[in-house]
Amino acid sequence: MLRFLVQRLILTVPMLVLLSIGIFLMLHLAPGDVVTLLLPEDLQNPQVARDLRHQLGLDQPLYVQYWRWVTHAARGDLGYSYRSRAYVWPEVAARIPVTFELTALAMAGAVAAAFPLGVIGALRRNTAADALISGFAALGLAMPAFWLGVLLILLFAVNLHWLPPSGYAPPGQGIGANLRRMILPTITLGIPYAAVVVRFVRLSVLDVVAADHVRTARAKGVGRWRVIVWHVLRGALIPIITVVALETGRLLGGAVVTETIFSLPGVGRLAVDSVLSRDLPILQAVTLFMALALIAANFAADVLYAWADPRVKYQ
Amino acid sequence: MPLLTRRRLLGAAGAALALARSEHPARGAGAAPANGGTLRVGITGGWSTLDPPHYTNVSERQIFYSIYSPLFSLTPQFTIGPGLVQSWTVSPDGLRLRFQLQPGVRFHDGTPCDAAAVRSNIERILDPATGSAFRTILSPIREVRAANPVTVDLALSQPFTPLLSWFTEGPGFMSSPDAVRKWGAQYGQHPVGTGPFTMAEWVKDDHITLRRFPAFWQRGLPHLDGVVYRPLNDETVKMADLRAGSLDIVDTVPAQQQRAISNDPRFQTLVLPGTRWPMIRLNTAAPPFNNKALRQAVSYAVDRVQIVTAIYFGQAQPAYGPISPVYREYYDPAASRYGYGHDPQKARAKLAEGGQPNGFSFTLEIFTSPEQTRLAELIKAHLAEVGITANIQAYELTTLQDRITGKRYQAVIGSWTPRPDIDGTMYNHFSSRGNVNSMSYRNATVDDLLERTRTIPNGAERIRLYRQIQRLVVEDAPWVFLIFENLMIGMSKDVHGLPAIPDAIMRFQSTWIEA
Repeated sequence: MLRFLVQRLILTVPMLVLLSIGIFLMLHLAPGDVVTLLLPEDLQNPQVARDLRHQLGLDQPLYVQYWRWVTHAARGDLGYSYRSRAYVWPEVAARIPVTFELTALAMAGAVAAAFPLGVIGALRRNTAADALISGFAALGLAMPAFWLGVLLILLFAVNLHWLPPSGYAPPGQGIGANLRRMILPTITLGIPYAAVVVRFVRLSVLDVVAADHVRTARAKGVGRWRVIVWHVLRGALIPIITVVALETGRLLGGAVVTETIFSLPGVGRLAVDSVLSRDLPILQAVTLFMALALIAANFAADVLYAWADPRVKYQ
Repeated sequence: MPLLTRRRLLGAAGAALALARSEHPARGAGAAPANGGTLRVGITGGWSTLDPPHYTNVSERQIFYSIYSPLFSLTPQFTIGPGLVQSWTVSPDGLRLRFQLQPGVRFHDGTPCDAAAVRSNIERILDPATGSAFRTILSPIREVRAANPVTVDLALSQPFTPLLSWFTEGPGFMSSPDAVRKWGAQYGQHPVGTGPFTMAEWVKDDHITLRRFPAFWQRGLPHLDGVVYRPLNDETVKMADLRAGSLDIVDTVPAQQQRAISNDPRFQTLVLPGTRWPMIRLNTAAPPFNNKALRQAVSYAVDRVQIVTAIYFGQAQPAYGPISPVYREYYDPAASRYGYGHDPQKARAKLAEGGQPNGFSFTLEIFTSPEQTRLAELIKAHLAEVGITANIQAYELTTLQDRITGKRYQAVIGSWTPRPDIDGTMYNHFSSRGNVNSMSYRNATVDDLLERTRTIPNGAERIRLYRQIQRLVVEDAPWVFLIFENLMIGMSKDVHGLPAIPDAIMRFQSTWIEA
């Protein structure tokens, strides 16, 4: 198992390199010049633009620029932002806890809600309860975050005054203040995620319920709940773990929109800003972080497979 | 249309130039300012650097006036007043300037803001290695000399009237030379000025907290203990925060919410007429708009009064030329007589004159914003009435900026906010050497006149030249003039002492909160 994990880890290195080349090329192909954006509109002077381009090293050939970035990055130096001239790593690192908290809360909340709902939907399939749950799942997927988020703000913050409309409070300022500000973003981000998980839980439970070993267990006279928990749920876990891990990408993507709506200082918002301002050093770091997060999620899934199903052995 | 009526009344009384406060008189108006309290400010946009020579956007400028003091201040009449420079003289030939500084001013780090510090700040911008966009603006400066600790002498290579006005913003904010040396390229993250507030905490994308600077050079100020700035990119969310009481003041109230906020007894508003103006830039170097008659045809076809009511809910006035009423004596009301009113007959006549009697079609490029989309749709409808087809194409801001700079467009909706000297608006756009003349507009007479306005002092002659320039530009129609918009700052009833300055920047040194 350990060997397998180490092998996977080594494989991620070429993945990250390819990814960084991709980002580098994409941002260069995108229309829009970072130097134009660094100068106020009425001060777009060719001479100043040339100086600035030289100062940022943007007058070098592409491969030189990339090579310089990659050799520095390999030594742990991610450079500095074109726009703010601040070092990249502290800029990104300060935002990681926010995104981590938001996605962790949304994932935990969504799985906690989706698991029982999916099981109920499967066990009571083709009843009113099942229709209601499937209806919720369809609706949850159909509501865009920018719409749902603003609606939640108008209802709970502006009309009812129950929760603050936007902003972030670090847990250091009191866990209550922190959570009060995370409730609406968590719901906004968690609902589409929960919708996907509900459908998967329902489907995989339906699959397992019809399997031979469940029928045998029932025939042996094992109690109803014991069959559900020990035989059905355990068997249904593998596909559920898969979807939870795979959908981490959706969660990180959703965080981009959610953080922007609720003015949360997270990595997602930084990603949007750096794309819009063509701030390549920041964007490279953000993308690498997101890729590592996805890889970590898949790692966790691999480990959980072995736990959920003893037949899974990694060579 | 009560809003339009009110605007017309204001215009008729000549009061459109004045600043209109909301109808609700503040409870604390006239009372003595109270000390203490923290002001929570919502701003559209964000901050990447607080180093003045490198700033790029208006939200950064908003914070500068709290952390820094400019060499010169701007008055509500949009003229230059004293700042860190107490008094100044300009030699008759305009080549030598002498600044007398406020004595005893200190930076937040305790170092003196004397003539040597001012010289160091100006030389930093002039140094190509700094990479500041303001270098070209200050390029007429040949030499900076500290004659004594409170006297700075500037020698210019040519007279440049707009220079002093630039010292009211970016190039005029004095940074502690010690701090600049200490932090190097990271200085923008650790700003040290002479302003009323010092940097206390900066959580990126979340808030900037400033604390009262007890040794501020304007004695007895500021009244506030601190200011918290929050960047809010979504207008709806920003207004929700104001309504929910988690903000005390917001930089702009979107047009469609202005009425609701002015009528809400919890809030008061500050209206700054004519402080932003959208326009259509026409590329005069490429078909179809290399044809003057076709540019004029579009100008006649647009119904500005309907734009004011339908898109800006009455919070604007029609524009008949490029010079907004914020420029006071430079604004020429006569433009409404010689400019383009809504006149489909004349539009058709101009189409015929331009060789396109049955109309023509072109691409109107816009930025993907709800406001610009609504504006473009309405203009498209106006143009359709005379047989002109506008195909609307929306772009993300960076891409659009690239198309504008590269002059790869036929017509594009742009927007402008006033620079403290009218030169910043007129030379930039209408001189063939202007930095934002993406229209490729060139008129030799206009070029000549614009050069002359840069060398003669403010006064009757300069005003006369600008009236002449405006008339020529209107005739050539490189822009389709649309409207001058009123910006509205929205705030709680308890906030007082905010000066109304037409650059729409909030300055908090004498602001106070009623307990």
